Amino acid sequence: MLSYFLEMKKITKSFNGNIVLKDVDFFVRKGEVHALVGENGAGKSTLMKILAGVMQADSGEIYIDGKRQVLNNPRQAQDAGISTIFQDINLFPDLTVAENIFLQRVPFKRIGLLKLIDWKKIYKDTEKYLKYMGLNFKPQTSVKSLSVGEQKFVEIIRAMFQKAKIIIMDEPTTALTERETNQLFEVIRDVKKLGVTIIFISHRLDEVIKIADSLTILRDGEVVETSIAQNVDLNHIVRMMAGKEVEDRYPKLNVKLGKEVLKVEGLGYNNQIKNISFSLKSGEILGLTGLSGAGKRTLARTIFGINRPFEGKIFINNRVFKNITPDLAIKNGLCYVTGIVAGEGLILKMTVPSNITLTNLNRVSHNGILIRAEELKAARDFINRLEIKAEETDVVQNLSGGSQKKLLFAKWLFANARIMMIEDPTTGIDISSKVDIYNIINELVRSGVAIILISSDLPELIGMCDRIMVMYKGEIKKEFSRHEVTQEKILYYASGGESSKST
Amino acid sequence: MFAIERQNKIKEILFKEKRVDVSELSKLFDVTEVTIRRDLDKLEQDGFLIKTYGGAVLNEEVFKSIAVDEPEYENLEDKQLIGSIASHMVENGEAIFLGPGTTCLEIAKKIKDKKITVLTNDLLIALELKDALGIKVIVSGGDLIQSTSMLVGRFAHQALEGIYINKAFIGVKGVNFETGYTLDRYEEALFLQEVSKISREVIIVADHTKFNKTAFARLGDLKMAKKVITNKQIPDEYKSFFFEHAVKLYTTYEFE
Repeated sequence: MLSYFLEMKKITKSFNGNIVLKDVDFFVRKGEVHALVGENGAGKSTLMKILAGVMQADSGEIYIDGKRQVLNNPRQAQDAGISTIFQDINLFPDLTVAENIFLQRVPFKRIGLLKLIDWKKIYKDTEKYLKYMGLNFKPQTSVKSLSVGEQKFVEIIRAMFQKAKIIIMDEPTTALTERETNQLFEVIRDVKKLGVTIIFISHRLDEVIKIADSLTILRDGEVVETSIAQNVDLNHIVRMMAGKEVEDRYPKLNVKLGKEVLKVEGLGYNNQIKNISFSLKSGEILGLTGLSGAGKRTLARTIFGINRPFEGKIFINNRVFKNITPDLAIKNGLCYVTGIVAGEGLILKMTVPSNITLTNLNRVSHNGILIRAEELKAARDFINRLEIKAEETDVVQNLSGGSQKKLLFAKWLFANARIMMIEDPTTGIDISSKVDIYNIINELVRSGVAIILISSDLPELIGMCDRIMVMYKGEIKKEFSRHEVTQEKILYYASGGESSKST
Repeated sequence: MFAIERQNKIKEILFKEKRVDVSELSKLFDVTEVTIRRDLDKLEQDGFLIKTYGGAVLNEEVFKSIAVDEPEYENLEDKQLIGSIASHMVENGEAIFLGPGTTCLEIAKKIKDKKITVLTNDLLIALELKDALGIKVIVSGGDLIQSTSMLVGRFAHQALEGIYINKAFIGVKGVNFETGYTLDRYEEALFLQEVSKISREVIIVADHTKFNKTAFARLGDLKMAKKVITNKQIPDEYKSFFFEHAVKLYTTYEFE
């Protein structure tokens, strides 16, 4: 029997009674790239946090090279040879590359009784690694002047210097360019030869297949499969990740579509999004999804005029725009309902009425003077119509997440928005507010508003949209109609699947 | 004046007048309308009243726990909104059933331009559709219940033999976690249960005042229908319950 270098046995973990990992067995061989895949919430991060000593399992055992490990804190995990490269960069931006690499393990030289930092050695060793990885910057370069991709490499070098035996890479390619990704894969292959084991977490399944030797698929906190990467294809992985389709519980309403209100032709911005074309009709809900970094947000920001200048053309109500600003967008009835973070798009320290009227002060002003009574009246009207649990005098930051989301809708309704790009409308709010939001969306399309629903909540998108566009690396890879779409199909294209292999 | 004193006064007025008006109360007590609405929310939770547009009516069930049917002219606006939502669910070429009551009557008013077959056991609904050219109307027949327009009984049941319905819209008198969907008469419940058996989809329609109520005869539990149409004011617990049990909940909102 082949022995495993890392064995995580029967790992179970729950938060407040919710089981997030259940009897997970995770076995990794020495010197392999082992991919850990699964949908958001499948338990990948929790499992890795346990391995990195950031979190402790409720039960289960961890062995490295046959020895039982106790990893009660990150320090212990580091001493056991486990190093984590998080999705977000974890470097000191004001320090140099070399300083960041050696921060925790400074080499000293002795001159008589003096103990001095051996800078010469630091620079020399760093230089050696930089060259080895084909990076053309100097050890003395300050980290903040590097690209995100270059910073990733600095983190890898640091892990190598810490004598890491296992490097956990959490979504390492998210912020990387194509070139940097290939470069990273080269480095991973080199590092592997030195006997270092890599645990590679990624949603980009095409990359997983390219780089991984083995993979483990998690679904709802359980391992559904561990296999040799070359034996599986993308379709299979996606099917295992998605599991069974969830029952439809979304109050979709069929609304007769009106005329085209928005059209985008060959839209591009700064190489982050490329050649995007689609059109949207009044009364329609068009879904937009993709992994983080796929360009959904960039697309919305470009259409709304935050990202400029753009390539291509935007047509609003048949009028062509070669340049657009948020002001111009709003004047033409187009709005962007942001909200990845609670409260985004609102001024938290201001009251409910001020937030509602903000985008259309003219409506409550006469001769340029704001009429307070008018503003209050408008606020009261929206509080009632959207059933917002708030009083006119409430400051926004004291409201619940659900009320804040509804308030965002009030704000744009007050501005007479007719085309709404709505981002993650139900993230982090309670179920009853969720149901309210879906019905508010229904009422919007009933009154002829056109909606682009940007979300990574697939059941929600499938439940509410007429069509769904899937983005991958800045491009729209696939468009589905309501009747043909499944979670599995979306996942396939969102993780880099190509049309020819589609099921 | 403390909130509790004000709420007691509102109760007194309610018992006397049977209804209250938000703006009047706000002037009477010299507080904002929002404060009054909060008071009414509290009293509604306690079961004393039912909120309506711009005010509230006394919850007669404080005195009699079983609702007795009386012509329902109340909440007309809420029922009209439910009717428009329901009309979006009806596709040309379908056969639908409209159950007895004013909410289903409002649906009938909103679907006159469709090309469909409508089965109903409510004479008023049949009459409402008499001039709709695209609609074939079938009346169940049966025993007319005194002083209503509702048909029930053996002859009504016979009308269901050998037919299938795409969508059955059923109005109920009570929606409650423990007692499920309830109606005033068991004959009606029996008939509607038969209708559900021949329908591909059952859609419950009930304005917000029907929630947390129980009428005499049980139709079925809250999961019997996969779609429910009501108003935004229903208690949050019901919104969560329906979503968690994969029942599509449609609530009405009015925008311009």
